[in-house]
Amino acid sequence: MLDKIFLEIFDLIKPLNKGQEGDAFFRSTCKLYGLGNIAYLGVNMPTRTTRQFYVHSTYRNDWLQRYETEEYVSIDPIVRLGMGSMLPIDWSDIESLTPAQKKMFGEASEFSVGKRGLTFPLHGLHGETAIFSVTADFSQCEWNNFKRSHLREMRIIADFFHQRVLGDSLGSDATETLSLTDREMECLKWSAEGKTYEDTGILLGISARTVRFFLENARHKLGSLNTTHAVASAMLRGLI
Amino acid sequence: MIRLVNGLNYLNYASDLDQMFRLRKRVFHDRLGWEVNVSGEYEIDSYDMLKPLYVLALDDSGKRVVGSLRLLPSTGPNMLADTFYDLLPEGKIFRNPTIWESSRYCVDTDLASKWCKQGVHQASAELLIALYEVGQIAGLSFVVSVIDLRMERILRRLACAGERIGEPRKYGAVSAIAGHWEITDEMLHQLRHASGIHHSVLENDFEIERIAA
Repeated sequence: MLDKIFLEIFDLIKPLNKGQEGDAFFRSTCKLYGLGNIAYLGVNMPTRTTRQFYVHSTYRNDWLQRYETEEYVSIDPIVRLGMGSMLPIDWSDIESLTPAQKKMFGEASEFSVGKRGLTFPLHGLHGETAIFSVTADFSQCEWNNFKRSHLREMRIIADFFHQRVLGDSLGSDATETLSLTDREMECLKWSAEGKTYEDTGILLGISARTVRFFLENARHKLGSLNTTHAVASAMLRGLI
Repeated sequence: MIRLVNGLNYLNYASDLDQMFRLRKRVFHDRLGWEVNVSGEYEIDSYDMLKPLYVLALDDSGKRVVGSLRLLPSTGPNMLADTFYDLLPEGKIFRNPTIWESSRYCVDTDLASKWCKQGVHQASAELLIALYEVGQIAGLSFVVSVIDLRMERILRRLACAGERIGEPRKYGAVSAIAGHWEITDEMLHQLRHASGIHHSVLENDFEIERIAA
């Protein structure tokens, strides 16, 4: 079920066009994981046009207006922390808020931004930095479970969207295309045959861990959320 | 004890970073004779300009840096993709948001006085445990690194040799390989068992990431 939905929503935004596919992608992701909102902010984006910032979110318009008129971007700790770090930031871990920041978070909850939030900093090839946040109204226990189960998927989704934004602003000829290696192709083929990592490893004379490593890279190169999706995608494209 | 230093708090930990760049010169340039870029008493290169996450091993006083490594996302410029790509199968690179690269893993054996099981310096083991702990916090699938064969033997003693991605190659006098380390509970458990270090090695539950202003 989850695979099918993602096959659909990942295909939805290739390419990203005038934000509509992005909206659908964010909304589907929210629905699938029970999230409140998703927000993306790209800074120093490489671009052929003049657009250096790229903002896309599911936040309410009145909150976005408020954020803009109050110039919250200049005090928002999530922006500052996100731009300067590599590790994901759980909003509830942020300490020593200034009164202005407390006010901002107070208002954010009035505008249904979400009780909890997690932000992934994204660092790209062109010196660009972006932050991708997901929010939810989960209880502490639900939130911990969500993070434990879906942290890596959120990272993949964040990067997936970022790459689409880059493709949109740079054009496909300027973005790096990464081709599958023979080994990655072989691992995909055996997976399609229903072989386990262990079996595939024995057939190829490598460890099961290395099979997972090659499949993980194949997954990413094919723009997929997981290995099952990657195998399906490789078959659809006639690669295996 | 392990301290994480990122692009936001370089200034707060200037002394630690100063020690780290000196330590790297002593280890990589003076002792191992690698062809690395040296600037005064520092070993520092273009990848240090990319705001990497530094993982520092400190002595018990918390003042002296005895070992370090450097983490970069594989989605941005990194050594394996941009310098050592011929270590990869068919020379084909990957850039993957769930994979980070570790580089410049080193311990000053004159400064590191504590040993853990397997005749390995405690700092060496702590750095590796930190790699897994950070990997789990960040939601990574693998960490990759270019290491030399000497290092591979040391890591093997900690049940943490990683797996080879491609074939070894010679760079000057050094034989290097690309390896991957899968971030799983099982791997971390093996490493804890081999090293005898069962607690989290991160200082203050990595509080440094969180100061708002």
